[in-house]
Amino acid sequence: MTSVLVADDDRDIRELVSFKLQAAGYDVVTASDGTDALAQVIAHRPDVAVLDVMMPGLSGTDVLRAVRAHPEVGGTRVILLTAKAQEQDVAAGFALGADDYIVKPFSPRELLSRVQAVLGRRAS
Amino acid sequence: MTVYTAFLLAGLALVALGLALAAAIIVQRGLRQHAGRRDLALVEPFRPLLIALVMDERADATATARILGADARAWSALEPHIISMVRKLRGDSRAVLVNLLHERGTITRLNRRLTRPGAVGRARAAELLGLLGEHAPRRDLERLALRDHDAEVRIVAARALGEIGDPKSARALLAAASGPRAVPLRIAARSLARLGPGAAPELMRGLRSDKTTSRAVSAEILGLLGVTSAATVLASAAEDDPELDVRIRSARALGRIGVPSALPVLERCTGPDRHPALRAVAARAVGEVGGPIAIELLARLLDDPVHRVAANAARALGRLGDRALPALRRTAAGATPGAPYAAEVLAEIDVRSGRVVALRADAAVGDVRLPVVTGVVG
Amino acid sequence: MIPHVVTDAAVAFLTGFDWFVLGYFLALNSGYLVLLALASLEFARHLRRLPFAGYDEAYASPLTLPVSVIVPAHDEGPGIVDAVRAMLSLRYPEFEILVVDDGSTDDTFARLVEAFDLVEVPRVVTPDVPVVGALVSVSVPRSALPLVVVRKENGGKADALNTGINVARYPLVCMVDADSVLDPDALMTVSKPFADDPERVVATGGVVRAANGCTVSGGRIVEVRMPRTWLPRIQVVEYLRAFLMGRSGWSRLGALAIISGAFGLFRRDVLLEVGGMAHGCIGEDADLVIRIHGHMRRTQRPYRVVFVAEPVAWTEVPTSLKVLANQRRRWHRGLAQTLWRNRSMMLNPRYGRIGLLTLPYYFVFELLAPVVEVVGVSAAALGFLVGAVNLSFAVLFVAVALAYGILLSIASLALEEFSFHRYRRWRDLALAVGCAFIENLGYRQLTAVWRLQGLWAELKGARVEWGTMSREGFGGPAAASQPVGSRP
Repeated sequence: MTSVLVADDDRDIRELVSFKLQAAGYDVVTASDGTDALAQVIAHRPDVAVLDVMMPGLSGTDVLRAVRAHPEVGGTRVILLTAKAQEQDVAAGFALGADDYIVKPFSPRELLSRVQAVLGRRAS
Repeated sequence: MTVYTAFLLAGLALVALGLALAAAIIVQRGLRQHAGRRDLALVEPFRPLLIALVMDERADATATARILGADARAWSALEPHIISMVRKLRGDSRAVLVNLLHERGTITRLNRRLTRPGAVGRARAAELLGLLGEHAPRRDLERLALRDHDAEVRIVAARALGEIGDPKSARALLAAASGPRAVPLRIAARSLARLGPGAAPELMRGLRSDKTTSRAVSAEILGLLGVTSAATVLASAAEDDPELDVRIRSARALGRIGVPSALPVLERCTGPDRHPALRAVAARAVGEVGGPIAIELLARLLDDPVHRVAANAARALGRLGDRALPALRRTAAGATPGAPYAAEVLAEIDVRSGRVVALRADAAVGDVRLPVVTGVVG
Repeated sequence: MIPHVVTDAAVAFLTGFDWFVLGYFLALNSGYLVLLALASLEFARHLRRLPFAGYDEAYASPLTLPVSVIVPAHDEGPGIVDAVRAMLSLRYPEFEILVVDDGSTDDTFARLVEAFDLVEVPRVVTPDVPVVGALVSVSVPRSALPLVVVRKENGGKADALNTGINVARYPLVCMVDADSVLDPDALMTVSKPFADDPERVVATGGVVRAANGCTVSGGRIVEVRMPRTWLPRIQVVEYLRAFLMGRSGWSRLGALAIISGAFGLFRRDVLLEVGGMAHGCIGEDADLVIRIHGHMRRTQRPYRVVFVAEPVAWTEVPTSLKVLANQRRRWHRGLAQTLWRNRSMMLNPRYGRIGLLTLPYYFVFELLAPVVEVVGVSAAALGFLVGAVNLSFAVLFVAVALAYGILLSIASLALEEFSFHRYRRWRDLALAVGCAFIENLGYRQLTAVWRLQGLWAELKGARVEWGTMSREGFGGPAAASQPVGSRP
């Protein structure tokens, strides 16, 4: 079963996104801070990690950097969840190896299709 | 001994006050924790309902009915919770929540608060109404943005109008940027920019206004929105407006719109007889328009004695990519005042493209270290 | 045998002096009480407005003013990488981090090169404000991170800041100590006044608190706790009373004279107008703000210097008496220098509240406080010995003075609890109340002695000694000898 990690310090967002992804048939794990998110990626090896950029502890970009540098989970697909709309930040996220990004406030339906798209990209 | 007694009394009063404050700290903390737990307990039963409702993105009649049927106490805890969810969502999921708030009367209540005496209350209501866009009383908010006597309320109302994003608010927002009860230009401008291209006709009129701030804001936003049809009007504003600020913003806007026909005007704006601030902005704008003529012009500006003009010209060339490289290399190799500026930008391009060796010890061998000229210009 | 006339005169003098000291303490503490009351008004105002502060909106806006963050660093090797990484993840739409390596003798620069993959680049730097130490190099990371590292020859903190001001590209300049742990929203919070009142606001500062004991992860505070030992604990309470309440109160009066060097935001054009930081003085942060006041008043422009009552920066406070003593001596010397350098503004009606209220207050109740305190206690003791003061009266007098001080400390705690309540554990609250007592019984008297020493050193014109403190570091054993932090 395809699994997704949802990391956000906001409980609402965690639960909303989990609900949406579970309803679509994914296996979901959650984390409420960056440190936990990194540990979960290493422990559960999710296919996709949805990371909030602004988290206590490690930020989403810090987690992304660590995941990319990790020998075993380096290939995890990563979607950044950000409140930034500025081009340069999006560019910085991609430079670090993010697969996609979603701007907050977000539409859950859009998030689901982004997750599907990112997974599809790998399958092809 | 009266002084003695007075001291004793003062001392006792201080001790009593200290104890009272200590008690207040404890009570306050206890109450806050209790209230937090109580609200959590009140909201918890509704959370699964809310999440299901939002995520199905269709109004489920029974869930809706149960949430709307919450008693007053539960609703008072639930309402802020729903509002905080609205902030995080877009699209249908958000609309479902806004409808809940509308049906339970939140929006009507907020509308009434817009006319209350307390400035904080008005500002809070305005902010929330902006968030709940589709049901907000646009006209009341416009009135607040224009005429409220509290500066903060005006700012919040102007922001709310931007959040709602109805182009019909353009006129009010433009007017709000000037006058004795003005909203700061940047805030009005940001809201106008959020109204989208629908605001363009009003902004074109604003460009001919007799108020300086209206012209300045209009120019800025027409540029941000990229309204091509405004280029002619902006060109004449960039050259002839009596206010420097408007000329600068018009030049910047011309760059953002990026039509080649603006080049002659922008070139004149970079002329040595113009104000340095205008020249610097115009140089940048020339780069945004681009093309061979722009590159030639910018290459000349590299040697400009004004630091900002030369620096902006160099950065503009840097952004133009490969086509501008020959001009930059030529200047960097020469001995004109522009050489250090060209060298700076060339180095930056090389760094970003990975063509230069890092200072790090483990970097690949074989790369050539660029000559470093850290120039200082007087 | 001493003639009666002489002893009578001495007794009369001592009695008079004791009354003067009493009056002074009453006035001093009442001054604090007024500031505290003003601060609580300010807090209430601030907190009531938080829900519609619009930080998210400002964050998404392309029109938000970009900020150059200047981080002067001298031998900051152990912490610099974490600090810069944390600053790079600040929540703000557009900013650059400018680290100015002021002739470090340790591996500060090497660590930065290693962590951020720096590359040396040429850069044209205009001498907009005067700089002494020559520029050595400018480096940027190979990735798109908004970081610039400037190396220069050693010239002191003010010189490093001036270099930063010259290199800065953006219209707002933020000055941050390299050892400050910043709140992710620090720039958003402190730049808000510039957005709301762009015509007038020229400088803003925020609350600086003690970081000891807090859990720091990835350069951010994740859990606020009281420190594990008493000395920093007392300083937590002291920071609340003296700095947080004091600054908020002065800001409310529109007469704020100090923005901490640990975190302050300024308009770059105004910094250029006043010629940047002053070289060769210790309290360069206070000196700058007072000069900005002076400049704006002289050019008769409406302006505001604003203190935002929101915790934005956390700094490690000294844990040993020796380092603390050095720090306080230095702060007090800085205060003396700042007041002396700006003496033409003192009691000068042309400078409004800053000249007529703030500066005289700082002179009488900050600069001279340790003198009165030490001399006053000695005089009281002497008065008691020669019988000019009776015992029960002396005890009562001391008790009332102390009770007043403790009341103020507790009131500050109450204000913190009613506003930000960052210390969440009951245990921390109990400790804080305990500290409110110790701070007044011993700690303040101790600092009075140190401050007096600082004042004395300044009067003698002794060479400036840069205090050093050995850092415990957050979570790591890495210890280094580093300059003690800015006054908060």
